[in-house]
Amino acid sequence: MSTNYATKRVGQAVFTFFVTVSLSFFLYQAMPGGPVEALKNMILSQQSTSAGTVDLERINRLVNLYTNLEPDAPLYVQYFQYWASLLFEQDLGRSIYQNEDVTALIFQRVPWSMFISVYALVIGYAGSIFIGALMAFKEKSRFDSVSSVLMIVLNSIPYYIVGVVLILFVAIRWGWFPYGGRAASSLTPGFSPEYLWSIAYHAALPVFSMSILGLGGALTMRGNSVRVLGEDYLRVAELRGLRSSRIATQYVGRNAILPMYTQFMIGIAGVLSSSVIVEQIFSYPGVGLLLYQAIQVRDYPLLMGGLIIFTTVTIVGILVADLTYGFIDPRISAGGDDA
Amino acid sequence: MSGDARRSVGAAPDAADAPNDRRDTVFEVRGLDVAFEMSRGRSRVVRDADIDIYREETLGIVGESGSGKSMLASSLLNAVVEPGVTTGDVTYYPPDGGDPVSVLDLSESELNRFRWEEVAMVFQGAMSSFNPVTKVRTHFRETLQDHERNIPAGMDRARDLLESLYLDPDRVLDSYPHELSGGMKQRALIALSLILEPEVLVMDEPTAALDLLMQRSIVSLLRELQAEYDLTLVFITHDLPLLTKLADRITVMYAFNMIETGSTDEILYNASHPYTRALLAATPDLNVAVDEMHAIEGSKPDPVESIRGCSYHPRCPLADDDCRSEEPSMFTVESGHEVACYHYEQAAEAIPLRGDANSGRGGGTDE
Repeated sequence: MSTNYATKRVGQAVFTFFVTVSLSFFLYQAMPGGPVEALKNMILSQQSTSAGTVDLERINRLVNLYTNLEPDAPLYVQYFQYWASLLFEQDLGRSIYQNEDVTALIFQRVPWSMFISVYALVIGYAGSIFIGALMAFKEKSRFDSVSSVLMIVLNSIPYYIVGVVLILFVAIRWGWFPYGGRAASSLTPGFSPEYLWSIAYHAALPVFSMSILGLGGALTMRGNSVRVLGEDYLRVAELRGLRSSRIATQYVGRNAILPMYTQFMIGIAGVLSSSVIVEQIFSYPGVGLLLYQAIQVRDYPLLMGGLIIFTTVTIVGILVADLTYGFIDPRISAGGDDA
Repeated sequence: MSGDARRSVGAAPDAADAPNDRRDTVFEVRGLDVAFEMSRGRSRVVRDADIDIYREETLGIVGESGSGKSMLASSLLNAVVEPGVTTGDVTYYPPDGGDPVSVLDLSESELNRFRWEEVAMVFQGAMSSFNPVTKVRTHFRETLQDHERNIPAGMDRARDLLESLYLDPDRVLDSYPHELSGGMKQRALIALSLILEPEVLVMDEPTAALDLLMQRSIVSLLRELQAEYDLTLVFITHDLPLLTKLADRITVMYAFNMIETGSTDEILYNASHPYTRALLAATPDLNVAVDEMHAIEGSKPDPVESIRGCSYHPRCPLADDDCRSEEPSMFTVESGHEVACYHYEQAAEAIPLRGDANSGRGGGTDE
């Protein structure tokens, strides 16, 4: 039963990955002046200005090197070639502009993006769980109504506005935090306390503005907690004379967090994709900024690579959520009986 | 050691000197009121309740839905849900002549100790009384832990309890609540309620969601448990026939008031309040033709509006000016049988139970 479930989930994940990659491949190809065409034109124009002699053979070889695609082969062949190099060589092609392997480029940047994303997500969700629980315990109080309004307002303001406002006031006007970069350039990278501190210092604003994204969970948490507070088992727990700390964590907390768990895992995707904009605002050199730059110069191999990485992270996040949900809610592993 | 001995020696003459009823009483409820403030006024859902609960008896509290029975039960543990306000006196007398406890004056931490150690409660929503994400074992363990009991000894007791309720201890303890059937959950909850050896077990419609067979078997299990563990049972239900198999005494509630209290036999064969009689006459019975069963005309009063006089007078065939102007106090029919009705002597004549006395009994006992 449960292995069946796991196989099914993994199968779904693989299928989703396949569909996403295929769709983006064909969409990119279908764009007027798709990657191969664009690249060919680019090299052509470069060569016509510099050397003058046009060697189509050489251009095709170059294009092949950059995109992993044979420019003259039919589309389906190109498609299979792309998959083959992706699966067997973990090769995503070469960046057109940076003249480096896409895989290398992305994996240089991924840790930095993960660093701010994970912190933003954890801080955002921890904050929202705490605030939501507090709001539920003080239901209908002044604190509850004020923070409800505040949460709705924060939820409605896009996080990048928060980022821009933060830069304007905290970074530029008051100069409390840097407004760009991931560490002071004067420091040599390494495990020195100064360098680590500088990393944290530079990450503070992006993390903060992205964690606003997770704060929307506070209202969900509040709703969940209010529901749990009305459950029979909570009343019985009180009648049993259990310690209130146990009731708050094991009874209210545990049951109210359950629905947030999946949301959290899916949130990983949201935070990663929002990093494209946040990193641009804070000129934070992560995958997001890399992709943003790739979009601007139509660096297709890099774009495809970034998309595949984001897709993978999202699918893995949801898969992990699905597979582990049974551990935190025993009712799921029994087949979703909601008694 | 010696201190203990001296205390018990000292306690013996005390207990002997104490008035008899004091020693036998485990709960003394006086002038109990439960009220909720609502936007349209004050809703008094228990009004001026007086009752004594005796040690090791089974007291049945019967009444229709919304008559205040559950609130009365909750107030025994000072557990009326917010924003309900409980006033009056609820005094608990511990066994072996300990100091009486005024339940409504207990602090939060005293209350936490009082609950489940002295008085446990199994209530209506038994199906969802367990935390869905933890195993049944955890429920026993955390209860023992938070009451600072010895856990291995307590878990042994849990096994004994589950076994005496005809459950397989290992299977039940290792299950999550959703893996148990309704009847198993109910019995596991009863075992959980007895884990700290309470003196009193309050059961608020514990059988409401169970099928008839399971109801009867739980009732017989309760009787066994009561004998085994010297329990005082307070059993709340709207199922009068069920109660007659279990209770030593029955209190009838109508519209937030206690209107009649007496031994089960007295209530069955000598019911003196028109409402009690009407209730008995309304009890469904397969042996009686449908047209002989009588529903009670009218509907029960609203908890916010206060009725002048007896709360039953709008529905009572015996009502006169006295009933309409002043609320009757308790009259003693016989020793231990009290009724709040001016016309208790005429009630038997005015509201006959169905057929003869024997079929009146049919609603109650089927032995």
